[in-house]
Amino acid sequence: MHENIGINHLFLYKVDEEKRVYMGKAKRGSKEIIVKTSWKKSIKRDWQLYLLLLFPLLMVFVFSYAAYPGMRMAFMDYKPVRGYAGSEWVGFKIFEKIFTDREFTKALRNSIVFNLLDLLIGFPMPVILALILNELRYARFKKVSQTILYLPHFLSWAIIGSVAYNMFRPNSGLVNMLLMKMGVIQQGIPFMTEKWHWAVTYLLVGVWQSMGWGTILYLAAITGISGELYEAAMIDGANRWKRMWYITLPGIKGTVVTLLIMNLGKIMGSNLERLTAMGNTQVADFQFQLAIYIYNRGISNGKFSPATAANLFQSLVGLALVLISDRIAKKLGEDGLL
Amino acid sequence: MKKKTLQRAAALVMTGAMVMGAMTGCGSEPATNESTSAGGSTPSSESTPTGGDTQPSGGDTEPSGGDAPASTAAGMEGWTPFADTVTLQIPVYDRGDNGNGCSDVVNNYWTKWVQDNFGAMYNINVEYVAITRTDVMTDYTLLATGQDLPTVLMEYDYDKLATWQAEGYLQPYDMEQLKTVAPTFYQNMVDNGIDIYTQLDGEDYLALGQRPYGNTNYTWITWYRQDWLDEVGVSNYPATSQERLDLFQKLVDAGHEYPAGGTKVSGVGVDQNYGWRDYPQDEVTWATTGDYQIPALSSEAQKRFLRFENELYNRGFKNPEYYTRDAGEAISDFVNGKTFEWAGYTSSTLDALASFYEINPDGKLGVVVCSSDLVQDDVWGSNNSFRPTNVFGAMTAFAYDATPEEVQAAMMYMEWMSQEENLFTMQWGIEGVNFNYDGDTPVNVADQKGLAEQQGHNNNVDYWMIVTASKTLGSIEKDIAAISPQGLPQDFYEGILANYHGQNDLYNKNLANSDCNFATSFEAVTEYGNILTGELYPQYRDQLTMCAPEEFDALYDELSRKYLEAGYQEVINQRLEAYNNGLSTKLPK
Repeated sequence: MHENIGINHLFLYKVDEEKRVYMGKAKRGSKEIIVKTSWKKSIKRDWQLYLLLLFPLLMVFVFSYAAYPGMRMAFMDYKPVRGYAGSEWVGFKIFEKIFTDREFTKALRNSIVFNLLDLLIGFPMPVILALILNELRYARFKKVSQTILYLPHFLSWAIIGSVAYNMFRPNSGLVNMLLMKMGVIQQGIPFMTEKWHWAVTYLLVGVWQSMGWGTILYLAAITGISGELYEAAMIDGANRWKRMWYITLPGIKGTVVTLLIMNLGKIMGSNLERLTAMGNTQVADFQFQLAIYIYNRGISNGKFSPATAANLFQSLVGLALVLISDRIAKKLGEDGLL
Repeated sequence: MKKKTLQRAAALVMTGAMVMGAMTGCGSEPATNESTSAGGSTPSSESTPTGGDTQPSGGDTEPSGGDAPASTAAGMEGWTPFADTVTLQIPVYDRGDNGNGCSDVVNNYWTKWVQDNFGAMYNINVEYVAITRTDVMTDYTLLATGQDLPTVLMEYDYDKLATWQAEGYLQPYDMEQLKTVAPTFYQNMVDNGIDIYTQLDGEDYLALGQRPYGNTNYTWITWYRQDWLDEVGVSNYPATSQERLDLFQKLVDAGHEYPAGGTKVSGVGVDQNYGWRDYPQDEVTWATTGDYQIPALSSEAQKRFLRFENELYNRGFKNPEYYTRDAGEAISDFVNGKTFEWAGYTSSTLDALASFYEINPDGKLGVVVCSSDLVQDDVWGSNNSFRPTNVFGAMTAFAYDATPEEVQAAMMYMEWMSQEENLFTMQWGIEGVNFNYDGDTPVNVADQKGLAEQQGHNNNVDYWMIVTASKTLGSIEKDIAAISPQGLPQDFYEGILANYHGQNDLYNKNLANSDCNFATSFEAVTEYGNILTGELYPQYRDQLTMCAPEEFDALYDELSRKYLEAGYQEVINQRLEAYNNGLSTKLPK
């Protein structure tokens, strides 16, 4: 009771004290200070910043929008040498074809299941890790830990796959050899060579690869929380656990929701490099996800129309999920993404 | 208010850009290949050469205006430089880790040498385009999609060229123009009897390089551990598959773990069953399932091969993790003295063998020699038969969007590379740097690492393959001497030569046959080929390799049925139809 009162008090204190300039909508309960300006004045004042923004905007345009005209292929019987002008429009025939393809259904099912599991296991990990890192007090240890945790993000999947095989092969893998030498197991565990074991290994390696990097945004959000809140909480007798629970977590809630919405958009996606680097013929049942379907049945087979149609379907469902989850988040009183 | 204006402006710009993009597309529209099929002609051994009978296919391949060099006389004497620079793009294989040569295949001493000695002379800018050796079809497909095909497309496999022709990637060429611009190249086709294979669907699409000793596969050599044979008291390399199994058992008993090694399969040409067939071959079976492009799961020969693999696995001869291991690991296993044998293309510079002797200084190797007599049994098939390569080497075709000037420049390149002195320099390099004379025979320097003039994989083969598939000094003895690994404690010349003679004898007895070639492409191969080869076969063959021996027959039947249903039956049907319509080569009588 005492702690709750303290926290509410602290939030009020924060709003009163901070002199922020809100250019957008005023947040509930906060004071809005609107600075009148024109876009000409804005550009004149901050032209360096706009110049900096130009390059990433250009990148987004080129890599995200410039390829959009190519989506026509999904509605055409596209032949590379005939080009768009010479290829025949076929309406939704390509979609009909892939939706009735049993292999597509299998790839779709695998993608959804694995991405949901990825989300379930992988999403909370960076949050937990960020909370732990935030509690580290010895600066050098914290920095070294962070660097080690970020490292896997910079490794290509080809390297991670190769390392995973060397670690987890049933007979010659380091882990199995060690466990066998120690007498813990008599026979190697098929981490990479039996589909259910592989699924677990695949998911955990994915978590290992991404969790460190995923902490960056949360740590950045945590740094935005006023230190005075923690001081006040400590004065009020909040222990470390309480401070984490009542200050840090609420402080990064907006970031968590935003990233969750963004990750929901990836439910239909799959990573070809990751699947290829970690796959083998014994786990093909689970390895066969949309990225493999699109590459094998489409790109490497010269069939760009089905590949584009499958990809477009993937993207549209992803977009729908983002919009729906954004709406739900707003209904629940969060800021949402859009 | 102002903010809204800014938002509106940004939205307008983005929308406008998207609409404009949608209207205009990503690039220019390619010209449609309007060439029509003139009916099939059979590239059979009974066919007459097409030679000059073929009429030019319209003005497409005629040099235009003053841009093209005048060709008043045949061959190089008639060439003059192009008025405007012509860019000639030539594909070159990038073999990655499996290549043993310079790492940058598109920009090195030899690509510059070609530019300096050929391109600069005729105002041609020669650019090389890297093609991933293990994924040729995907690379060309992506290039075609980007409307960025090189001037010529090159491959050793007839099926690939037929597929490209069917997809419209190629344009027919004027044989008369080839005769005029590249008479040496043309004459090589005639002299080697391969000018009968130039046509697809009745038009000249293919210009074929030669393949010395194409009736054998003599550069592909299997090395084995002779010292291991001595150790277990076996005097000769096993002649039959049953003897191989017995040998592996002895090796395992002697403490050699997984002597058969093993790697996962990937790409085209895996699990060839030539050594598991019955000879003389049934012609229909040979024509419909006898190629190596799509593994012949459902055939009797493939069943024998996979049953053998199953025995290797279940009896503990094969590495049980083989399906997670790649080709590089197979080489490492052999080099590190863990496996009994290793096969690869021989050349004077063979890093794998040099490394083997470094690590196993007391190791003693032998070369598997093909017997001149067919060894045939009911259980395992022929045992020692093999796949003769095509009688022709690389096939070159012109991209559908190559301009007349570019086609002309490509023909000039083919002719220039056919000249003896140019070909010799590309193949052997510079005397004292890349090779030295032993008497009158050039011998390549074994270790060229670090040289600015280091040759590409297998003595630059990927640059001169357009003319010939292998080097020749005029006799098989000299040629084998030139490609026998140099600088090693052992000499393999005699073994490689004996292997050649054994293969040659089998071929001449009609007990080894080149694959069937079709004068048409197959929709089913284009539609299902990649899926069957790249996706389904590796899964099914591993299931069959690792199943219990008593389950093998039933599983083979079940997976064969699935494989046939997934498209292989359609491939067989279309090939059979073409065979029945006389659109294929035939087995020699």
